[in-house]
Amino acid sequence: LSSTRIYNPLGRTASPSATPARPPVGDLSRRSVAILENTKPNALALMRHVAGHLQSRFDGVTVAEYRKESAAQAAEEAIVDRIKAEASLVLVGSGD
Amino acid sequence: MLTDAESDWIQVTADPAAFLESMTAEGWGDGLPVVLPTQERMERMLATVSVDPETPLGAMPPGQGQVTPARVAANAVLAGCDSESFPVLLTAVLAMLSPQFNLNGVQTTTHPVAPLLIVSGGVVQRLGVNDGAGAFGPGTRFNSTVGRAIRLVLLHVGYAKPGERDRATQGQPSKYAFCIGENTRESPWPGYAQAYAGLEDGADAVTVFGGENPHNVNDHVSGTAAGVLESIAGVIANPASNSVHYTQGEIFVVMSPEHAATVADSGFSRSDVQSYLFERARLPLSRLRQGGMWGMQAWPPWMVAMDDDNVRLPPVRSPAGFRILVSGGPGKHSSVLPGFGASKCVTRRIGDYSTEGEAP
Repeated sequence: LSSTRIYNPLGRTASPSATPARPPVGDLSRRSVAILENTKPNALALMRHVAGHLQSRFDGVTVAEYRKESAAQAAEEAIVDRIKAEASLVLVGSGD
Repeated sequence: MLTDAESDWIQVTADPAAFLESMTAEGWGDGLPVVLPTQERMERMLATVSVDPETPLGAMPPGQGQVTPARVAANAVLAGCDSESFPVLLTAVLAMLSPQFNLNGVQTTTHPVAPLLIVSGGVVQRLGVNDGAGAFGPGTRFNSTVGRAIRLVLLHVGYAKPGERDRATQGQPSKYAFCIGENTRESPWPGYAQAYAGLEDGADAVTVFGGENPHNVNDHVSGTAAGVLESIAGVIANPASNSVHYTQGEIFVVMSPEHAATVADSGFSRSDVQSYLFERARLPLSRLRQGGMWGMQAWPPWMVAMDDDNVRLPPVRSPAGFRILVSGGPGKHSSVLPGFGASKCVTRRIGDYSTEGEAP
């Protein structure tokens, strides 16, 4: 079969950020866990269940819930900043 | 000038059937055969716009691929577009990047939403956009290929592959192609872009709207505005619609010329249609409590405060939430297109390739 040259239709993406990820939290004892509620009740039920599991497995885990305005929009910057300041781990629901 | 960078060009089989097989294996495309974007075809497409082919025009969510005229042109060729339609397509792609359109939400939601492209103005006749019989359906090159090119750009530049970054539970057929012309020839009211975006009468414009497939309104009987609009209101007042409980976003009502004429003959302006629907396309609180997205309301405080089961609540925040236009041919069928909700439609003059916010 003969071949031909075509323009690549795929969008170029930026190189991955050089910012290193935070090291994983090994021991959650006495740490704060955030639940970022995406307004979908089923996701919230699942995340509460996971948070409860973490509380039973580690001593002194505290859980706080944060609610973003809409499941279809990114979380407001102020909420992200609060979670960064107040929590060691955040549970995020995606989907319904 | 098209780049000659090796990474922008790829060597592929020239056999269309073999190419379809290989692109499908790579996870490209919409599953249908394509036209190969060779240099000659690319140059013909790009000659219709005055922007450098490699100009960065913004990152497209969710995958953040860089939009350039050349990338859009490659997808236009793949889709089978005529080169004269390219300025319309490029304008529409930029309109979707407007922040108010919330393309990230449109691309990644479980809702079936697809961007509808509405073409308005003299360009409808010049380029043969179907604004008449079967406007939402097949059979017209412009509607089929430009509508398809939008999807290919969303797939290839935005990387919204179904089941991966596109999380739609079921999707909808309009995700293949979703494009109509506005039928101003038979509309009793000023054109859409004039009424909603303040452009001059007859201006060539595109409107992009994140919506559901058309929901049919069949009314062969009514001879008054009230009759036709009651039928339309009945289709809008759907307790399982995103707008009703949750977002109260925009709802498009695409009226057939005959329904629009009946309504206008009763002395109704477009604004009267909006006001009528705002009063009548409502559901009682008792019904809203039974399902849909009850418990997730993003309602304004005055609606949240309502506690009377019999109170009837609207699906949009104000009459302006209903967007009215005319399209289609002979017959007594109109359609309602509920919006995704967390997205606002954008109207842009064709040939405006600016990248900052929404163009006037």
